[in-house]
Amino acid sequence: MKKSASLLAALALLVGLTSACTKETPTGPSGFYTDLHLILNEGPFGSGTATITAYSSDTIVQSAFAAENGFPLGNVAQHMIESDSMLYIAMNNSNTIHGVNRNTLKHSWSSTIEQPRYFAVDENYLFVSNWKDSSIYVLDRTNGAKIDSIDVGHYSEQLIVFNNKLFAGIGTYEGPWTLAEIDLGSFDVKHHSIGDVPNSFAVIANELYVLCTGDENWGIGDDTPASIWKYEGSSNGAMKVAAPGNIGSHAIGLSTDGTDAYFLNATYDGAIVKWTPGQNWPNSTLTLPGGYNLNLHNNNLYFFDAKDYASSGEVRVYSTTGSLLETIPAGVIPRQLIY
Amino acid sequence: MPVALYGQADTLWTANVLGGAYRSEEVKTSSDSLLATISSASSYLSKDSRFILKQYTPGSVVTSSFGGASSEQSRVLWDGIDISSMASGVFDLSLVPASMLNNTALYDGINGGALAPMGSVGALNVAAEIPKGRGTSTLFSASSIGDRGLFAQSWGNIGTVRYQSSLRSTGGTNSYPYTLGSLNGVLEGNGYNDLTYLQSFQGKLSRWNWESTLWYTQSEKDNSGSILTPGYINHLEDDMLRFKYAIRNRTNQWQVYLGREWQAYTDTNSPWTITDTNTYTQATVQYSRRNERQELFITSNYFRADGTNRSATAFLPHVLYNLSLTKNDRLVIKGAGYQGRVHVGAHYNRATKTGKWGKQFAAGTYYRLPTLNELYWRPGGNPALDAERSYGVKYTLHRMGKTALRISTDQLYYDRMIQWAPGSSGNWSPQNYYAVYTSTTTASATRNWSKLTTDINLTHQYSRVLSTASNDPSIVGKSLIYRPMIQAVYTSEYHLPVGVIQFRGFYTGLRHTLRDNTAVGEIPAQFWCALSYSVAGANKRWNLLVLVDNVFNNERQYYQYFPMPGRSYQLTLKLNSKQ
Repeated sequence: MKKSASLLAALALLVGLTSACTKETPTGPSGFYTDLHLILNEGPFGSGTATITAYSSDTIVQSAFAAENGFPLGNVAQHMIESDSMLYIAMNNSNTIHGVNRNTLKHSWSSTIEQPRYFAVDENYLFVSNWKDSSIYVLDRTNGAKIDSIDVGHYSEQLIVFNNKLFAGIGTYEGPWTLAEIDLGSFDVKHHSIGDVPNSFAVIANELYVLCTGDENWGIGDDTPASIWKYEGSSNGAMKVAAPGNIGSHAIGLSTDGTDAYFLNATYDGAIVKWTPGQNWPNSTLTLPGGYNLNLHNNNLYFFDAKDYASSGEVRVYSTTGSLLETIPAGVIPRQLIY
Repeated sequence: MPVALYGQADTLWTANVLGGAYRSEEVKTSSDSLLATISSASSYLSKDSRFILKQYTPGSVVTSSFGGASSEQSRVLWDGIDISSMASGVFDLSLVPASMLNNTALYDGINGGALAPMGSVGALNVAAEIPKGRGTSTLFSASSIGDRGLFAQSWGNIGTVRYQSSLRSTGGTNSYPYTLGSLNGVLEGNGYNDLTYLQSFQGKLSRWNWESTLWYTQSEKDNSGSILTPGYINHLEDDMLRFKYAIRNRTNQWQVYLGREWQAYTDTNSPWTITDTNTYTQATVQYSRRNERQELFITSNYFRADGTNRSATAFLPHVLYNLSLTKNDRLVIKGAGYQGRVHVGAHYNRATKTGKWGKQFAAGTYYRLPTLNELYWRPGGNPALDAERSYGVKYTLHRMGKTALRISTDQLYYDRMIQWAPGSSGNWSPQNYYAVYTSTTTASATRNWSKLTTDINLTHQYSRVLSTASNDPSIVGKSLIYRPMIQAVYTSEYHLPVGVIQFRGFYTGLRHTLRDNTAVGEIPAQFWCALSYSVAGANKRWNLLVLVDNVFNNERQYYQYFPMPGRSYQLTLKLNSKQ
């Protein structure tokens, strides 16, 4: 009996050790954070850490990642994406990608990618753009291992999978800027002309649109204006469909409800404007300025106010007509929300 | 202030009543005296809780405040000439040899604001004093975290001309293990090296004393970013050449100061390698005239800042009049012309003594002028920026003698405090943004027994943002960032039959790094201590110091996620050849 008890204890210990050493894997829709929305906060630049704010109508948890894992997220969060109960987070200054359980926020794995920017996922891979070299990295979604890389000729920005192809905005705040169309089977790359500083994508009525910020030179040189481009197919490339008259007009954060598009009419301090394909560049605003980024979900516009960039920001929720519905306290420099 | 300079050459000036009321003394132990030779001013001043110093790692750039709300308000003077950069507004105290500080170098609180031409709170007056007699001195130091130091000095006479030459070189790899909460590792990529060369001559020409000093510093510093940003290294090179010539008799003094700085900053933590190259030039002529009751300083400054981020020139005429109304009452009136505006400050000081007790009351209004970077930085400079205005009172009570006590408190209200904030164009831009109340109170007690000396100094700081341009409710009512509520240093020195042993404990309270004071940006309170033993022989021809820093391996940081070293060991050997 005593021997059996010892064997059971040893077995239990072995099982315990095995499970402790096994990497956290998605466990399906159960966990404290499953029904909470997640706000990604960049955190202060250089010193300090990024955070995740988790919230629902009656719950708010600041610094949720650190609370769950006992260590900070890293310096300057850039982007996160959810897929199959996993949450992938790009830490720009920390040169790290975190794979996290969406339901528990428990850390699963980390992978080193220098200056990671944005993600896209398809059925097989996690794609990561970066500002350190001309590659888009192809990662294993389960453990972050680098599987392949796609040379796109220059630093890459926002990514989107559309019609079984990966599209990437190429170029940062310095050109040359192109729209890269990447075959997901062969990883062959085709470049299309695009406006200056491609910033964000939206699929409206099953058409792909690209918002370009325009080149900002902060008074040192001439600016070029923002523009919206429509992808016309692999042979035709992209075509400019709207642009402001003023070269000093810039825009970021293209979002859509499937019919109309919404974006901020300035970098760092934008107001929400509404644009419908076929119309000219919009001049009237739905809200006051002050936006750092914009997301849209379920007909709600999430307007990220970074305030003074040295204290906690907030996310203001507007209807698509510009009515303020809710204000959510966030961390330092909020930039994205996962619903 | 100039009083300190005059004191070197003419005892009449030393006895002048105008300067003494503003200065406050420090306690210097045997170890301090030895370390002052090789230390930077910033390392050395950490023994005094009145200094709020911030640095990333040992040897890195240091910003400082002596009771003020920001580094730009506290100024560094060289024999009364303001040499803090009017481009950046700050002075890197890691590049000032501690040997240039005497024990009355500090003018704390609003007394510094009264005397510093461009600042409003706190001033540090450095001097390149030539030691008495003649001799040579050589010092070597090494530490377990890779620091190395060399100091060599000679002084004496060439005919009737006094001279000193000194060379100080320090460097280090800053490779050390760290633990911060659940994070641990080895810090790398924060190496530094610097060199300081000082050459002074002093002589007499008829009834005039003259003095010329050349002060050259060269430094290179790497910064690997916080421990959350592996692989990131930026590099700062700085060359600074300063020259000052002074000539004075019993009532008149002329000083000419020329300074030229070259600075290159390379940042590899971005898709582009950013290389900013900036230069800064200062030319100052100062005439002063004084007698036992009053002194007048007329100063003309020329500043030029060139380079990647700004190209700007400024003239700054400045007048300071210091009048002794009675034996106890003094008045300072100062004014500056800057960027087409006139700024005036006034300071009243009453100091009285009864037996061993002294009291001092001061009140006044002060200004802090915007820097060329704040005005003209590309992008974001704000040419419309106005000077900060502050109003303050100070009360000091002190007891002299074997048991010395001192309590001093400064209460200040700032209007139009300058803060960088996002502007309407999206650029960060400095704005006259805040109204702020600050309170700084320092209490110190020193006791001398025959073999034992103890000193404790404790500084309490309180600040509240009263309003901002937008009256942001998340900021109004909050403390200013990076100001610990309590900072304290305890020192105990005991003379053994052979040698001197010293214990020093440091405490720095919790600091906020975010303007809304939220917990995610808090740096916790930290305590650490150092133990040293020094011994001298052959009539002090040789001195040896063994120092154990951070004895109990405590966690500490000045910036979040920039860990300072744990326990480390330092050995210093000084050889004197006095004749």
